Amino acid sequence: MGDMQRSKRGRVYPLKPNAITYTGFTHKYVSHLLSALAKATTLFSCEGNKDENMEKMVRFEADMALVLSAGGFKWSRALKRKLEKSASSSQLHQLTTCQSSILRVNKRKTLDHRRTPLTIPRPPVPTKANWPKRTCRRGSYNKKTGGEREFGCRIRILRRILPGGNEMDLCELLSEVESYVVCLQLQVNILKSLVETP
Amino acid sequence: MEPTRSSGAGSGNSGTYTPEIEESLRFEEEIQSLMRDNTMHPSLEPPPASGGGGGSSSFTALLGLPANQAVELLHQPDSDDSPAVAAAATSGRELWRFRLRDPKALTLPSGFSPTFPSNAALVERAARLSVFAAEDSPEAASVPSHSGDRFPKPKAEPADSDSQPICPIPGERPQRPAKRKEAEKGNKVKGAAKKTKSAEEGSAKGAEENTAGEKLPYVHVRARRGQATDSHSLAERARREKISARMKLLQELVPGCSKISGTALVLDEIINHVQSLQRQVELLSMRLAAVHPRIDFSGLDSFLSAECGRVSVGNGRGGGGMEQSAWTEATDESRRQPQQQIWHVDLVHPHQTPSVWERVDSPHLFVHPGTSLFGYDPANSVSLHSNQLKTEL
Repeated sequence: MGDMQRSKRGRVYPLKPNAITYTGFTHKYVSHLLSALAKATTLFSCEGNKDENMEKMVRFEADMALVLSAGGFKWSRALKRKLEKSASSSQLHQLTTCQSSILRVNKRKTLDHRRTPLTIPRPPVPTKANWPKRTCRRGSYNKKTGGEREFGCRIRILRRILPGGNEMDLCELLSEVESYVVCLQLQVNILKSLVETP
Repeated sequence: MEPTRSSGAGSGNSGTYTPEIEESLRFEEEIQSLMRDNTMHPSLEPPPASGGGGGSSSFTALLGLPANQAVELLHQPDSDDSPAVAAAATSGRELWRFRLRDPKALTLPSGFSPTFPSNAALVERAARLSVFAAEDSPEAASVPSHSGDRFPKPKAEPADSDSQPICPIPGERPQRPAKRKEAEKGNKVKGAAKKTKSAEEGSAKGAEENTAGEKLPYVHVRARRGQATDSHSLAERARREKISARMKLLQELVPGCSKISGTALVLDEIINHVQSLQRQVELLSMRLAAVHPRIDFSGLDSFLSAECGRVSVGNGRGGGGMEQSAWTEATDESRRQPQQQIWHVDLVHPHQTPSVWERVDSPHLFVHPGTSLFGYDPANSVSLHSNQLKTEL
């Protein structure tokens, strides 16, 4: 457990994310998501214009469940901050679930109990067309070699994709990406099974 | 166990070891307390004449025994527990301050010979360090010869020279990174950088798993032949190697990356993979939102929480419990091991519930091989039960 503690503090970056953090991820995720959705259903049943709100709410809850079940990673904290920001800023219908999720997450912070979040600001996902070498060119005075430039480009893209990637240095970024990929994969599995079975 | 803070100086004391040696328990305790507290008994601290960063002095000197007797003692435990030797070797690397129960005023030169604790039969300690058993046994063989050479009071140089080849071997003990590493790094910075990185790697092959430096604050790299040894480039090289190690891990994680050579392309693949996963999450959440209103989740939720508990217990031989037990013991080890264990479990699991698998009829869940399987089993186990529940509902 000391290893996990240290990885949370971030002073020592373990080379591989601690496997213990994945234990029970599925269970936690499912329980969070289902409870949130269950509450949301009851609330939504009386709301008009369900679809759009529902989608956003579900997306929010999916992200929130991810954050809650995979704590201890820098990206999870960054994602949480992002969700909270969108929760406090956007004006939408009141959704107790979101508030309670946020409350669960932030026990200490005082929240603006305003309307809930449903827009989750997703960063513009750069497609492959967006990052040819052209966009990364800086000019002839650039000392970097071509290979390094490409590498730098891709690292920048990775930083944009990963929540909180801008604040990490390279080593941390790479280890966080690894854990993020694993958690995303788990999330996809869960969502797939949830969608397909009923 | 905490890393020892002190750097190379003098060493502990050992009183008349002869009676102590027989009492293995006492030594074990001492060594454990030594590691815990890492304080030197003031009265017993020898003059740091011997210097030698973590060098190993002759065990015989400590004992004051004739060489043959010491060697004999050394050889005895060597036969029965090589893990003890491992413990010995690793601890011997460090600064030995033996705090005996009865402090004896025997002054000792720097450190003890690494096999000293083996006499004490630190089986318990050794068991933990069984990883080092392999690489330490050759070392243990070398140590007695050394100790035989330096019978009376070893000086700094033999200790130092002895420490050099021995130091790196079990060096990656996560418990004492700082001290040993500092000593080693000090040596390197002084220009003693051996150009034999291969030698180090060869001897440390057994400790490969821990050599990844998972818990070490420093990753120490020996200067390669013909490369600069100044601190900047060393640090940079260490950093680069850390980064490339991480890239390797990512390569294994993302399906289809292992064949690709070249960092940029691997990064491409990783980015694509992450983006595709994010898009999948969005799509699935949309679909879930569409499906959602028709499903009563509240009942399902309580069912699932009960089921999840049952699943984790029921999977005690299978996924859940296996994961936990595998992971708790694999904190230090490479992630591959728990994955492998889980894969074994995954293979076992489907056979146990063939009917359910057929009923699920979700072949896409089996598509992704390798690392994805790691995430599939828990999800599948939950989904199976949710299947059953929903069909019942």
